[in-house]
Amino acid sequence: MASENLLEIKALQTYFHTEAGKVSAVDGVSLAVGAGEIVGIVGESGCGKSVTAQSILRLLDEKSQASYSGEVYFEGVDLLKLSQRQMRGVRGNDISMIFQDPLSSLNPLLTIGEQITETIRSHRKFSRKNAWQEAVRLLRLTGIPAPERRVHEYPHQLSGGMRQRVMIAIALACEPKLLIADEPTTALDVTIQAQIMDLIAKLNRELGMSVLLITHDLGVVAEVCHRVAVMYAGQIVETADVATLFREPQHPYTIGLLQSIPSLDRDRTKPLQAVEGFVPALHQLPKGCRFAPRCPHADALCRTEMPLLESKGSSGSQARCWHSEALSQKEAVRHA
Amino acid sequence: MPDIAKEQLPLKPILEVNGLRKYFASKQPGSWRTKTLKAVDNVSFHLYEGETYGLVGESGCGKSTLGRTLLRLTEPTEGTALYNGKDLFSLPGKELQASRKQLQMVFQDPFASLHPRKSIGAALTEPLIIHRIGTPAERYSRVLEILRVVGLQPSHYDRLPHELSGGQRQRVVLARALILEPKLVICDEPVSALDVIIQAQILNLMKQLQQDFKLTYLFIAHDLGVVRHISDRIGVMYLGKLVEEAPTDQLFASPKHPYTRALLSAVPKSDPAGKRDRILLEGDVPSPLDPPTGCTFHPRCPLATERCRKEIPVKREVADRHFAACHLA
Amino acid sequence: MTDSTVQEGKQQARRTSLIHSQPVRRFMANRTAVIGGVLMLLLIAASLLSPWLARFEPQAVDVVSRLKPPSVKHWFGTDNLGRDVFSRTLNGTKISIQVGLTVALVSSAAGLVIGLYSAYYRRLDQVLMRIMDGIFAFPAVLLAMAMMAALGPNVSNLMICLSIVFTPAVARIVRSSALVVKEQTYIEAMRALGASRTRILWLHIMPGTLSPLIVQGSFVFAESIIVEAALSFLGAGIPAPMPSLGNLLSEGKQFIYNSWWMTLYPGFALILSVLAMNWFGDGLRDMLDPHARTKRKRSRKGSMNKNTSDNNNEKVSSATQASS
Repeated sequence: MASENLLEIKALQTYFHTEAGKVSAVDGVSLAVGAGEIVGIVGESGCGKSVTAQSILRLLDEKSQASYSGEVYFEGVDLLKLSQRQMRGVRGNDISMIFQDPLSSLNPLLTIGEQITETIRSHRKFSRKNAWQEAVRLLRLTGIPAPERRVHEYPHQLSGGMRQRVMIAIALACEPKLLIADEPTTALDVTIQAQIMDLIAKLNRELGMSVLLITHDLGVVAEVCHRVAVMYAGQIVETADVATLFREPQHPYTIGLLQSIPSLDRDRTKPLQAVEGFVPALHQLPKGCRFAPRCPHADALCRTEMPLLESKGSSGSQARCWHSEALSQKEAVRHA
Repeated sequence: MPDIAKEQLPLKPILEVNGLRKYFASKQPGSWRTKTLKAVDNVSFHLYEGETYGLVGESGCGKSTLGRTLLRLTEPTEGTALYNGKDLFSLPGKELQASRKQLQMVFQDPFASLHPRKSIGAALTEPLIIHRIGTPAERYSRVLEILRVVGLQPSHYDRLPHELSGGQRQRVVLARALILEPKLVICDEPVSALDVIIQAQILNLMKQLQQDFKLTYLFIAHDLGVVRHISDRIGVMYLGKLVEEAPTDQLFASPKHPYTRALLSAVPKSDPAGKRDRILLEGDVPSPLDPPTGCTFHPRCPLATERCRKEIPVKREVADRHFAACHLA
Repeated sequence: MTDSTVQEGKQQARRTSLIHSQPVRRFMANRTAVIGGVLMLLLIAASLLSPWLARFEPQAVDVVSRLKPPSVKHWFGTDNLGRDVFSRTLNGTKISIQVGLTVALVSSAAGLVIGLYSAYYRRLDQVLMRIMDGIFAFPAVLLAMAMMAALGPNVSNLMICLSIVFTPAVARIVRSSALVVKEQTYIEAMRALGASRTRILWLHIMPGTLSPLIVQGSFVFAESIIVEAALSFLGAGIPAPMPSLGNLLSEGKQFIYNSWWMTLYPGFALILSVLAMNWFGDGLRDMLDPHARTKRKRSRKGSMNKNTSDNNNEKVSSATQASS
């Protein structure tokens, strides 16, 4: 199993040391990304999805003195055990990351060509001239029109969608095996978002690059992902392949999430079904199931015992819920 | 507005916007010349009492400027906005202040639209003080009442904005807009900064409040799902122009303008099994400083003809209460 | 949910009690700022208590014991007319602090009004800020000297001159922070509610400019003490027999080779009060504007993955916020 998976996270814990004490922003996350697979992590802000992504690349080490436990295997190597120097070799080389805000991720004083060639030359042995050609090729690959001209432009001359394409081009510069995309389209308009998501799907298809997509938008997940993990309060509450998740959601939180989307095909005369309350703070998490205080089906067991992430149903999805079987039966009866 | 609309909607328009233009002078870097940025370019529409009019478009299409201009947070360049027969744009200062009691606004960012150092109670009392309503005791009880209406606790009265979550803050912003009992509320992206569950809570609340307070909403947003859910009629804006307008169900069932069609097809479907035929638009929105000739959409339009490149299309009725500004519609 | 919110509220109340509040704790953690504050308090106390602390009238001439070195009787020695240097230094400090405080208050008030109105009204801005720029273009000492020459040397004229000299600096700072606040959505929200301009200006924009104003005020305090001393030293400040620090230095200058105490102690008092005020001001700035300090720290720490660092910082800080 481990050999098939490009990335395998096992019981990852990420701790922050805050004034309120040590809190774990990521609490026992296990997740695998296979070669050529697009895996999505969805959840509301503060659920720990971004921290999970950043823990993989250990981007939190210096800034916030995060500490980790668990294992993050990338091609069989535990990234959490690498030194900072070895880690730098992994970042950008085997694993690249793109962020929500492309403008603040680009250096405003350098042309985009210079920024791409810098990355190319620092990771691969390229002459200056070849690196420029490579930069133009990458920009063309990301669908930027007239890349020969664009390489000489500065980030502020580009639109938001173009900047995100440049970020993707930089991420592709060292032919990574895994691309971590942290809310890559949140700052973009829908028509541009559609273009970028298409691009990511195309790169995955044509280059066989695995993608770990962090997003809050279930619609985006449905568009491109093969498998999804839903996170709530630092834990994965449900994982499934995309079709199963949308067809037979197991966890009440996933169900709530799906029902709260004002999607284009739902009956708009009925009010949206919104889960009551809000996400608990990390330093005062409830005992038992973390979703229990907001869950319409919670009982005494839910409030005292934390459920485990277990296989549910026939289609291989896993959920962290005591009652998901009973719920899905009830659901089935209601539909019948 | 033609008569048909009035026959079908027995309500009278509460706001009639005619030929609204808002131009900005934009300094060009490295040049002395200024260019005109047509943020809102000849927009006309009517708002009927008790309805929700959704205004959608991508960033930079001028939908927010339109909303702000209606409240005269920026002065319009041209046009009229008749509110109950009075032109909002020519009201003198005193009457303008008074009109703001009936026209309210809810802003996008619940973090930025509350003063960071003023308690929730103070923020909600402020409008009452400004319009000299009630005694301090009456104001207090009215604030507690409105807190209850928007689903907050009396204990929130003394809190500061940073102690509340995004959803709670947006409830406070709604409460502040509603405490003056306005007729028309302009909502500028009220839920786009919120997580989807919180967004659903606020949308439900807004619908509830609309019924309870008999409100008319001008709902500005970029999220088509949200707009579809809350609006009775929808206007689609592109580069400062209103390109299509129709009742919600009709717009989604048979969009006439190619831009609307592309916009609708770009929305991610929350059903991975469903087949979608995507109209992928080429390129970006052109700069409003340099709008294309003819139909402003023609460089990205898959159907553009020679006529589209030369002639500016006029808004016309293509079906019952359905308007589009397209030569081909 | 309500239980937890009530608890949260209590915690919050505890946290916001003044002594334990974030800013005050930040201030107390800054050692130089605390030292500056304590020094300032001591100096103010000493100058207020000078009639009791000093055993001699500062103006009392005693020709018999002139130019005496420091002793038990005259702690700081005596000057060329036999006057007690300790009493005179104490008195000088008192005058300096009086001048500094008055100038800081007056120029802060004037700068606040000018800065606020020029931030809000664009036309007024053109006029007011050009005048301010004009004043700002002159070196402080030179301008003050010219004005003193026109008005005639006495303490109140000196305060007027220095206030005029320092107002532009304050006005600029207030204006720039008011411009930032003015663009905030919550100010627009107040306009949408129908609030009058005066109300928006004084109730909503002004509080946002207070912290930079206080910080700038403390620097004006220190600066005006220096300028006052310089002017008096040059003979353009407080008229001669009055024992201001500048006058003491100027008198001591003639005897500096034989009677060092006449210059050393007043000089020391001058340095001490300016230093104390500057330290205190630095501490205030860190306390009221924590971002400036963290930014400085951050930029010092060069990071390897620069592209991602900003983004991470934001996320992490929001994560810690969410959890605290």
